[in-house]
Amino acid sequence: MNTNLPRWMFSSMAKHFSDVAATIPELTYYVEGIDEPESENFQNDSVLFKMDGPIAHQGSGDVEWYTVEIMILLTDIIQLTNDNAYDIYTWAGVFQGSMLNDALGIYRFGDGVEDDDSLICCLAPDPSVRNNVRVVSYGQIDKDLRIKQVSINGRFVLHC
Amino acid sequence: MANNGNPTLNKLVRQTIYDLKKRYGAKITVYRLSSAATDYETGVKTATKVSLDVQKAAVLPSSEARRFLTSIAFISASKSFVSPGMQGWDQNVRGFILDARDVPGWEFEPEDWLVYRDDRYEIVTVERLEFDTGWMIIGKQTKGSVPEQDIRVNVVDTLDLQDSESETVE
Repeated sequence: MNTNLPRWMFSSMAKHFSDVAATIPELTYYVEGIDEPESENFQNDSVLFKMDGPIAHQGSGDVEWYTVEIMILLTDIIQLTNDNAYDIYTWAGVFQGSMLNDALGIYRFGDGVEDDDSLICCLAPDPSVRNNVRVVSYGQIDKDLRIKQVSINGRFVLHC
Repeated sequence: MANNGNPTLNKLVRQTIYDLKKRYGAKITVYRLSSAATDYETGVKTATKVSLDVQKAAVLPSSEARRFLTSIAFISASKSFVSPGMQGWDQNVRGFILDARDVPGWEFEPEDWLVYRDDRYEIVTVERLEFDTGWMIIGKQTKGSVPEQDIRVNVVDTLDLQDSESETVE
């Protein structure tokens, strides 16, 4: 296993979903544990990227593959007027569509010796689990907190 | 200070803040992140922050903070601070009382932070005192890295004046 792989996978996916979020003008994108929280993150509609993994798997014949779990958490500030109640599901569709239809390339991003921005290979939805890319709706998460949330959870596999 | 039509009460709150500053006064610095960005490809982070030195804020030790915050909350009718026990007092928690005149124009937000004696304190609760006399803050010390600080220095050296002349021959 290349010891840079966890960083490459994280940076590639953080960058990919940053680009996806940029197609939705009203969303503020930030990466959990990476971006410093600013006040406006909590006052605007936002999208949070989180990734667990890679989990390394070894098969016979020195075959290795990796799985990751990606969660996109959408937060919609509830407004009484000038707001479409289905906005959050429109955004969820964009992210779910990206997980299923886009090439989720893992690149050698960074500024180290081996980091030449070249493509390693692509993530694909993990066929070994059912419901590998799903939308989960939490609704208004608390009575005194006027936000609603939806997450898109996906499990992906990387064969190199 | 806002005019509430009750100069006696105003004076009482102001006097209490003054007493606390005199007894527990210490220098703190308040910080706010003004912008932050991360290059997702390289992980390089850039951030800019603004800060403001407060020469004397009342920094209440954990053991005393509950009593004093209760007292000042009672005076200023800031009821949410009357029972700080409900807000999870524990180790590394301090109360900070700032005179509004020491932080002119600064509207505290929960994402701001304080630095006191090289330790960073995240704001757990912040409340404006009645009549805009000051701010009551409960801060929790963060563990981990030493916080980045803005160090301000005053130049005290004087510059020597030196005469020079040159001769021009025409």
